[in-house]
This record gives sequence, C-alpha cells and structure tokens, in this order.
Amino acid sequence: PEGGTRPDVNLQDVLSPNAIGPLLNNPEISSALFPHLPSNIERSPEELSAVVNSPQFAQALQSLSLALQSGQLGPLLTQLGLDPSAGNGVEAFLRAVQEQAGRRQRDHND
Amino acid sequence: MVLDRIGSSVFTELIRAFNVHGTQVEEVWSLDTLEDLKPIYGLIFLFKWQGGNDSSRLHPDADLSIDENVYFAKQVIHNACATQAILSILLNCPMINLGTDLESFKDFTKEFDPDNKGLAMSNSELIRGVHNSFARSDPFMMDSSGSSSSEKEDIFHFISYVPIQGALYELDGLSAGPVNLGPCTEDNWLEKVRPVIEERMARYTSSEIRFNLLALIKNRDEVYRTRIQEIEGRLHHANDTNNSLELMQLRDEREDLLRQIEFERIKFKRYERENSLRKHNFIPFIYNMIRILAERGELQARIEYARKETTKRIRERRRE
Repeated sequence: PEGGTRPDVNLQDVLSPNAIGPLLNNPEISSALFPHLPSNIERSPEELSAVVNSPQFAQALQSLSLALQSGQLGPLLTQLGLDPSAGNGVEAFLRAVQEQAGRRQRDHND
Repeated sequence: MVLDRIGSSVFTELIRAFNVHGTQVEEVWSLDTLEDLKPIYGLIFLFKWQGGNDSSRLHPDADLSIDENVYFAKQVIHNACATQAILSILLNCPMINLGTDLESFKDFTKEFDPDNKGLAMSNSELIRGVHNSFARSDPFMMDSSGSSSSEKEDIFHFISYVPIQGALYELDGLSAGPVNLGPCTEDNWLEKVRPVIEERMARYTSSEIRFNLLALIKNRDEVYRTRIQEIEGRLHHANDTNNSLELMQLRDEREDLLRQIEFERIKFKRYERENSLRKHNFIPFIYNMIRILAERGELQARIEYARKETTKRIRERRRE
C-alpha cells in the first residue's frame, strides 16, 4: 500500500553504469573519484569502470538506498555537511546534495 | 546476506581470516564433478530461507541424539549462518590444521551443550571479528534491526554435511541435534551424501527456490604441487629406462598441472579483488559521484529517469 506518498527512487537507477560510464573517461572526474576506491585497486579509468560495473558496487548502491529509506543515516549526513532531514529517502538525499552543490557554487561566485 | 556475497571467494577468505591453512572452498556446479574435487572435507548446501521449520524434518526417522564425537552448535544469531556452516565442518575435521586460535576455541567449548556452543560462537571475539568484517562494510547495517526497510533482502540458510567417525552427519544449527544419516567411510561418504543432496535439489528446483552447493576441499595449489613431485620422480625413472612414450605422457601431465596452478593463482587474485570491493565502504564514492552530477547540472535528469524506472517496475509488479 503506497497511500498518498510517492514511491522513492533507487540509487541503482540514478547511478546506472550506462549513465555514469562515459563520465569516467573525463580526467577531472576520475581523479576526483580515485581517492574513494579500495586501496588495492589500480587508479585507472578502466578499473574505475570495472568497479562501477561490479555486483559489489550494485550491492553498495542497494544497501545505501535501503538505509536512506529507513532513515538511519543521521550522523553520516551530518558528516557530509547535509541536513539530517536528508535521510528521509533517496530522493530527499539527492535533493540535499543538489542544494549543497548550488550553495557552494554561489559562494564561489560571490 | 545476498547470494552474490557468499560465493567461494567469501568462504575462502573466511577460512583465511580464521588462520586455517591448506583448505579452500569451491562451488560445486554439478554432483558429477565431486570426484574431481577430492579430498573433500565437507559440503555446504545453501538455499533461500523460508522461515519456520528446521531441516531435520526431512529425515523424520533420523537419530538426533547428541554424540560427544560431533561438534554441534545451535544457531543463536540468524545472520551468522555462513560462518557457522563453515565452522561446523572445520571443527569436525581432525585432519584440518585449525591454527592456534580456532583450536583453542574448540578445546574450550567442546564440553558445552549445543546451545552454549552456539552462544560461545556468537560471543567469541575471534569469530565475531571475522564474521563482522564480512557482514557489512557499511556502519548502518550492522544491527539486525534493518528489517524495517520496505524491500527486504533475501536471507539464505546453510546446512553442512560432514563424515564424522564413521557416520554421515547433516549439521543444521536450527535442528534439535546433529542428524545422523547412517554409516559411511572416508572413501564412500560422497556416494552416501549424493542422494540426500539430490532430494533437496529436486525439492527446491520444483518450488523455484535458489540454492547452491559448496565444498570445503584441500588447497588445490598444494594438491597439484604434490602431484608434480610424484610425476618428477616417475620422469626420472622413465628417463633412466629410456621409455619415450611414458616420458611424453608425463611431461604433458606436468604441463597440465602447471596450467592448473596458474589458473588457481589468477582465481585467488580475483577473489582478493572481489573481497576488497565487498568490504569497501562505498558511501564517499557514491556521494562524490552524485555531487559531480549535481555540479554538472545533470542530477535532475537522473532523478527523473530513476523515477520513471520506479514507476515502470511498480506497474510491472501489479501486472504479475
């Protein structure tokens, strides 16, 4: 039963390999992501693409989606500089990151 | 746990984390290949758990009494069953070198009753540490209260089959006791276990329940190297007697074993990679990916795409 609330989105759809694959060839983007790979994975666009296509990454996206939907992520969101209310679902989280990026760009331009 | 998280790579690293040497876990794709995997110390049957009854009801006449030769622990916490299944084999195989940590755990708990053995497992720092390093890398899923989520993840249950002192046992931490399936020897236990597993497979195939069979076997690299040594002895002999046909066959055999060793090496490299990805905390990676999309002005379009996909899935589910 969904009631009046709109069903939430899934991070696996937002960050599907098809959508983000082409971005990984951009050197600026790949070098921003390298520090967040496991330490024993080679820092190359090919490896980055293999990771994004791995079942383990898909699993991580699913786990994070479920955790965001169950609203257990308050402390983590604070760490990322987001409002704890961003933990009420995947879409709320994405919007919070969007706003954060917008704020940063405005600060930058001032 | 989810099926892709509990293949042979997970089990092989579980064993290594316990400091047990000389063994590995292989997936059994067909019961006809069991012979090729010898020596097999034990088998693990895993399937999607339906909840409710323990598995011993499949053998209503079997002897469930506690035998002091059998290390049997009741399952206390549900999601530790992969760890418990591998321990059921390790702690019942005198020919496996358990290493000091696990050996002293076994010594300490061997007089306990099954409930207390299970409790001791869930309280052991060694076992908890090994288990937790696999359960989740993400801090938020560590407690079992995550079941409040709307899309539940599949839960799998594991049962072990081990020959112990002349009898074949089915060990399921949810059963009242170890299920004695009748006498067997080290040589014929695989023949005896085959119909038992076939019956389970038939049952789960007909009800479309996913299942998988894994074997705890002697380390392949060691097995192949021992064989190469034997071949080299025979090569020596064939050289002395100038037996050219035998020489050729032996060299081919040696070549083949060297290829297998290389194949194992590559496989273990792959396991290592899978395990490091599985244990990695991907939240910073995912967050930065989303942030980059937002800064590039592409996030809105991705959200809209994802929303369409969700709607599509809901519609499909309704149609079913």
